[in-house]
Amino acid sequence: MSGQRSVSHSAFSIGARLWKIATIPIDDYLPFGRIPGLLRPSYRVIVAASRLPPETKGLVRRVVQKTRLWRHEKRDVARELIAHFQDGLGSGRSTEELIASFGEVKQAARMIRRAKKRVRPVVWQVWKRGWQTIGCTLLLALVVYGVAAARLLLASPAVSHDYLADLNATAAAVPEADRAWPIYRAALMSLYGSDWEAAAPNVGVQPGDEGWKTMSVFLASNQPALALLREASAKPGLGFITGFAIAPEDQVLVRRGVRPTGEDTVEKQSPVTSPSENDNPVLMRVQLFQLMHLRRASLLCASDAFRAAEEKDGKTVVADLEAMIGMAEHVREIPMMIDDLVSISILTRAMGAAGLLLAEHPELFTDDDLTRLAHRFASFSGGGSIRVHLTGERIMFLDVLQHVYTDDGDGSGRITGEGLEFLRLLDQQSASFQAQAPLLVSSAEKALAPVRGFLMADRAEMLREYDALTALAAAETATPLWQRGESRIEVHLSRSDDSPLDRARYQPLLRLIPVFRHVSVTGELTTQMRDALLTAIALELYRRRHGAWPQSLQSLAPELLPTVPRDRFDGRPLKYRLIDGSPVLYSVGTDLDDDGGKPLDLGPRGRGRPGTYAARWLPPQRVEQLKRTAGPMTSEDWQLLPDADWILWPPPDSRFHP
Amino acid sequence: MRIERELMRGAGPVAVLKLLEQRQMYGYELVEAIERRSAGVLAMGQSTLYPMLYNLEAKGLIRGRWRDADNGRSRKYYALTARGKRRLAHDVRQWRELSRAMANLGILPKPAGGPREATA
Repeated sequence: MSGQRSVSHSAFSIGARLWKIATIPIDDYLPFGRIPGLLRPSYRVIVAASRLPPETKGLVRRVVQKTRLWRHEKRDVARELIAHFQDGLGSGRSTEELIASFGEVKQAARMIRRAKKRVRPVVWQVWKRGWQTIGCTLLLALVVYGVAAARLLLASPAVSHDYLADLNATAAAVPEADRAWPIYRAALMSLYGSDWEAAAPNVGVQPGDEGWKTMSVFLASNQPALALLREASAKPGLGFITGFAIAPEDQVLVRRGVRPTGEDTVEKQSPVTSPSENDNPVLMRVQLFQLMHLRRASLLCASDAFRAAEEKDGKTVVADLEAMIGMAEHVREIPMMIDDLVSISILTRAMGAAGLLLAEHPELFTDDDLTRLAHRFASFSGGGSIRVHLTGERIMFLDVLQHVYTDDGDGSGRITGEGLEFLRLLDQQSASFQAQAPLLVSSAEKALAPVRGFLMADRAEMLREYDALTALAAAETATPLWQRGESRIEVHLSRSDDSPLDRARYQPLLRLIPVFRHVSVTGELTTQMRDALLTAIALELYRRRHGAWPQSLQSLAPELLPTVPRDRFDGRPLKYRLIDGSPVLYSVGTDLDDDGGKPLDLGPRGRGRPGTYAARWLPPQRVEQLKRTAGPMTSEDWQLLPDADWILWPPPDSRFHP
Repeated sequence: MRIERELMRGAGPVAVLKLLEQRQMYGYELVEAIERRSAGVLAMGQSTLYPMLYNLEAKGLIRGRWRDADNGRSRKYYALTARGKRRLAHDVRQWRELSRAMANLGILPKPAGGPREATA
């Protein structure tokens, strides 16, 4: 008996030891050691190897399985529950009692899981929190994206105002009998006749240029058409009603007017299509083909003036110059910046021709001619400084706003999906024109449209920002060149360009806002040229009356000039010198140094366009910086800051020039 | 008497810590001791006790170790840590204050001669 008990006790001991080897991880004996989990038995093996009744085993398995814990955690829980039931059975309680007193399986598993997770390593805790944070953030972002997308897609622009009518208001108010455009059309149709093909490449040439003979012959044989141009230019208004389609009576003109090689085109190309354009297209698509034709007409008049000068026909010379001034006035009738710039271009050409002819053929002009021309140039666009107006740009901007935003009735609204698509197309077009990378670079941008819509300023804020910028521009435009520094508007715009948030918020502004600083400088430079021409006319009149050139410009005022005009670069009186007995009018030019009338020497590169570089305006701080550059000037610096004056009269390419 | 769950949530851990203050005990032993010494009032099933033990272990108030029992079986014994002792002292103070307040309100009988502790 004792032997049998001894054997059974030994067997029990061996079994217990094997049970321990199978179930107790080495980790419990080795404080720093770890055995890979895969080498240890799973909890199922442990439960199966336990000496528990099947019902209890099943309970333990279910509880442990539902905890969804890590492998070693499950093993730990299983071992503990097995030990608990073994103790319970060992104390005399029945399986049913123990199972009944255990509690609810799901709840037990959930509570065990929650508690066990609290003892997991810090790294895991951080990892879990991190993913929770990312998940919550993504969920929040998704919700925000969804709301933004819904707001965007459910919104529609409210196109309610006919801004085209605003743009055409001045032209529409011109009585039919006073409208110049029908006469211009007739003149141009006549000019675009059978011999236009040969003449077209030579529009704008002057005596001595290649093609002058061809152009001269063309002009001589088309005097009736030129007379029509002069007649048209004398009309009170242009009366050109712009629209989105070319009127039938103008279509022939557009088809016949073959664009000469090299001539700048001013036709507005606007392939951007707004989805909301069915009844009220975006103003940017308006047809402005008349600009190109009127500019061409002015070049023809300029060439004709030179032709008439060759024939000593002073009357025609004056008529052609006055026609050009009239055309420049007409072009400004539509209050858009592009129109003003073309107007300035025509006026500049007229002033250039007048200055050259005055220098080389003063005998062609009577005193009355000169006086009349002086009054025409002085009173151009109402007199005073020549400005580029921004009225039309605001009209255009308001029109864009109504095509891309909703209208809440209080002057504001939110961006629409259609609006964003329009801006995306506009951005691509604008970037290609400006040789820039578009703000929106790929179709992935469409997926980001709700985000952009969320970030973009509302209608009221966008308009406020626009008005603030145009106010800056207007203030700058009203400031004479000699009182200007760094352009505040350019600084403002470059700050916005550098800020991704501003770029997202004010994207329409950045693409639609014109280059204000450059246009305001253009106005000032044109004013300078106009003032110089008026002074040149006064000088000629003085010479005729007194038999000699005046020693100073003060002698011209007030009889021949109201006051001595200013040099718009330094604010001092316009510079005048007699060099070898001949007068020279000049401005100190870009470098702000009076070089005594020193012309720009382009050296081996040739003449180029006279006065171009010396007439570039730079902020005074930039000029000082370039002057302080140590060492020899680089060719780029020299180009920016030539050591020369801006010769205003006589023109540098005049034979009259000393 | 079945105690409200919210009350059990506060009383259960204190009871466990108090029992472990005297000596280390294993899970089944704790269940039996709580039931017996609280006259069944704080009786809790294994589904409540073990999560509680794991929570206390996670907080560092108790520490569990597997040991071989005299009968050859392995059991996980739990012992109070130093932090657990401090926490127990704190909780006991709070319970005494609470019972004094309840007694003043007439909810509990006022002890004669001071607070009395339940004995095993």
